[in-house]
Amino acid sequence: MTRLLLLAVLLAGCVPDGVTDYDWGALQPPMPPPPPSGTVSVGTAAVGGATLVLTAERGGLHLGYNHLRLAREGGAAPGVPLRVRVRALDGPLAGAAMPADAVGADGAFGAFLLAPDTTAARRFALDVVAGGDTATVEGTARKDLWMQAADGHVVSWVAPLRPLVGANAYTVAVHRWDGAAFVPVDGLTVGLEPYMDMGGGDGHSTPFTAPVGTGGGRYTATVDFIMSGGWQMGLAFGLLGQTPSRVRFDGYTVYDP
Amino acid sequence: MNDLIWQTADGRRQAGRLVLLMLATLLAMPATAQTDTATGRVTDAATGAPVVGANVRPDGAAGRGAATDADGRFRFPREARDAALVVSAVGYETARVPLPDGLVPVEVALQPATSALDVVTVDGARGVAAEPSAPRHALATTEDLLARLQGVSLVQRGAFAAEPVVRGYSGGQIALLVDGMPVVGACVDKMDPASSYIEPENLESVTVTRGAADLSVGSQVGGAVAFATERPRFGVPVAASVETGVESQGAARRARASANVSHGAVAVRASGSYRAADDYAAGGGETVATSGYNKRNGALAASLRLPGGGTLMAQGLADDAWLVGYPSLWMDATLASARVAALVYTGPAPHTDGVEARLYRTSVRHAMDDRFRDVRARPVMRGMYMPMAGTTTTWGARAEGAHTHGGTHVGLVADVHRTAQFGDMWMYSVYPGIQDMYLLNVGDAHALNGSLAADARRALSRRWTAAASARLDATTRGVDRADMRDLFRRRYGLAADDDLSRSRLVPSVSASLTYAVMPATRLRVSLAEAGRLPTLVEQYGHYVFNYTDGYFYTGRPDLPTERSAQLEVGVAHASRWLAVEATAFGHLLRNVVVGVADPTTTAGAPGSTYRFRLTSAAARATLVGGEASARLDLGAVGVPGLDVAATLNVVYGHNAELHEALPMLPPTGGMVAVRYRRGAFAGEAETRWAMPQNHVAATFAGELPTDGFAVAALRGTWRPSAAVALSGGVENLFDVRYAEHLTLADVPSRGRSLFLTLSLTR
Repeated sequence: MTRLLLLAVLLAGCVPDGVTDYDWGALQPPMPPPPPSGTVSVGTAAVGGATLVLTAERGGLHLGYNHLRLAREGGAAPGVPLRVRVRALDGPLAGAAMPADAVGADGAFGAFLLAPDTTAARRFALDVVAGGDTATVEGTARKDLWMQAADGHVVSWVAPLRPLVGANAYTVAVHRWDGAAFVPVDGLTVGLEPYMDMGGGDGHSTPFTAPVGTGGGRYTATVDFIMSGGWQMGLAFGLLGQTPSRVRFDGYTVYDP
Repeated sequence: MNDLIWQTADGRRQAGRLVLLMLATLLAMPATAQTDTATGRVTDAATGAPVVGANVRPDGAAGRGAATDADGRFRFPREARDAALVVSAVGYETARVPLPDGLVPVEVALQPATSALDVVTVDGARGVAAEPSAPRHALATTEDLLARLQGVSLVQRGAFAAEPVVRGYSGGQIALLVDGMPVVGACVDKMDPASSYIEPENLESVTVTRGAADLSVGSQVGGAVAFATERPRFGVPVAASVETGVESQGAARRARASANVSHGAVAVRASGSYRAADDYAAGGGETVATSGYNKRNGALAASLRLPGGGTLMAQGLADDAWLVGYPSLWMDATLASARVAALVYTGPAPHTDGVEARLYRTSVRHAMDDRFRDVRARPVMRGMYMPMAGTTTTWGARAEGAHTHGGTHVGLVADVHRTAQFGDMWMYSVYPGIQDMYLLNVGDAHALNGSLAADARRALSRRWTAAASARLDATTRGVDRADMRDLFRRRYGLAADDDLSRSRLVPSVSASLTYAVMPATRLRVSLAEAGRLPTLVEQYGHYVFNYTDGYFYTGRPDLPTERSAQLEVGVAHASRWLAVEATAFGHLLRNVVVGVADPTTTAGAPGSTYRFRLTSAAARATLVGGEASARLDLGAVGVPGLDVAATLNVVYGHNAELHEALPMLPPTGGMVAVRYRRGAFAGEAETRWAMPQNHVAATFAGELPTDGFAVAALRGTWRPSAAVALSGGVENLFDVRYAEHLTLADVPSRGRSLFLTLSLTR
């Protein structure tokens, strides 16, 4: 009997290693490079007796709406009232800058760096003004997903800066190129088409509210992302009764909180 | 929300009135004195030796009875309604014998068991586990037993972890308990019912409750499957058993062993098993890919006899299954792991006939993925690997006791437990340009559940017995993760300060009346109005895939309480040569948990290929049906050792709001078996059959009709000595290719399979 018991024990199998710790990456093609992200230094400006560092989110300057910040070296707030003027360096037909947001007390501000055609990157200059003192930071705004164009309009993704699973206050801005400058376009009917392409012809949407105009060409909605990963955001916009124009922000990432 | 409050409050009021009315009526009725004493002796049919410690009790009375002494004798007070005895003992087949009138001692000769299951339970309002449909052959799995019980069907996903269905009720509608403890499955897709974590070698009994009448078994509206595990036995210095078996299908193999040691006031029992199988073949020979599995189970329990007459027991159970194939699904279980631990006191307590109290912890970890599948070839979710994982942890305390006073037997069961659940899913695409995805299915949901169940039973005369029971479930639950709370608030338009915690009271009541037409024949009518607590997934699940209808479900925090009003009538007859039980039932369900379309998730996405639903409740549904079983002992009429058993199950369900069948209803079916026992040999020929199922939820669940089938089996056992048993036989004798209706994706069942089992006991 003892021998039989020992035999039974010997027969007992064990959970093999790697059952729940599996290398899924080995079954996949190389992952697409993630969209540029993070805070990147664009340049420095010496104004008002201080050296200020200009940083940009989303991995640096890009066409569309830029989340920027001026800070003393070490990250402190500028300490002096600032204004920023943005100029297009490649000519008005190649690019144009919208009036910048006011620089906040913490140095944060936003700027539209737009181009009527979106086939290439554009260079811009940001003039930082402190009292009578001015310094300029130049940089190249890359062309990527944050600005899309259709039918003479450009649509910029303003917010959220970092989409998260759950509710996101989603804001886009629509501008029209009038031949000399970009003009905010209000009064449009805007529809959203959030979509997660899961490959192989499969995909799905996520709950969202209808966008409403908030002025200055901006339209805001709440988008409730149900899962993290790569998403697409389609937009249809136009005047009521007209055939809508369509753009799509493709390849942005929604992160887990 | 207002509806919910109204329903709960109204239900509480109605239930309270009913309980008071029933208890008052019961206590006002005159009791019948216990006029007789049941006496007798239990012996081994093979050797004639007395069977010590056999459990003898009246059929239909779980709280009374006696154990046999050193000479195999028993004695206990008999009530007028007692017409038959159920006699069970470790190592023997359970017997049911008529109880003659008067003071005639009963002689019971128990047949040595050929099944690893030692004891099965028979109760008046409960399903018959021992007679006549329970298998007598050595059980390969717990599902092997469940599949043959009256009123029980199994949702098959392959060769492993079938989900019990009782009369068409499943999931949260029925209670699955291990020693009274909830073992909450961790797979949000319900691939790991509690029954999958119990192996025959540590299974002492299975009690199937059909319908909601027995309220002591848990929060349910459709019944319960309650497993009782083996406990250490005192007075047995050393006992051990070893069993090994093989089957031709999938080269299934298993080995199991158990040992019991006792010395003085201490007894210890240990058991362990391992079983595995490769892919099986359906009838005709087609191999069903990804249908193999591996599983091991270990259990250890130690009991200490206390000076006051009680027993303190510590028990633990560990069960691991890995690389489990589910051919009917798109993925397989890589790990299904359960741990159960309990500290149990059994014995005397003031003002009671005895109590059992336990502290317990159960935990389950479940992981599934599709690493062995061609993910590019499947119809939906193409090109994605989707590992998903879940965990549940439950802490609880449970106590039950009984007291008989003035002819009225009163039982109480109280339980409180806290369950925490988590589940998530990764998605890795094989197509370029697709980022990895992550979906949270259950974001740290938790529930604190408490319940109190009371039942009273009283013999009103020699013919009439009345019983009533009441149960109150209370729960408070919620979600720990703030982002999940936000999500549900937005989805259902809840107030910003709504923390998503929910509490509710769910009352249930039942009553039954039994009339003894003759000493061996009883009629029974029972009424029940029962509600059940929703599962955490039903309330707080987030895009949980439902394999039945192919939709992703989002839970509803304010899901109304599902309730069922039930009427059942039954007849039971047990004579020396014929045992018959038949039950007919009609149920009216309210707030049946269903799903409604979730357009917000697909609107604006023309290319969306996924389907989404919100958990909801249908106002009304009906369920009617019945079961019948009979066993004819031809030995009593001149053919020694031969008996014939047959069963029949019928269920018909209709959703009155959706105007179609309730989904996943088992078809009409049953079994017929001819059994023969002579000396050391026992054999049986069995056929199991099912009618076509055309009454399906085609619109709501996309359910398809299935064909009927009949399969046959031959089994035999040879016991050359009391310590050795050799069993063999063939299942699906004619190699019929068939699919059970409750099998997802119509995956065919196993084809012809030869099996051989060797058991040694000491």
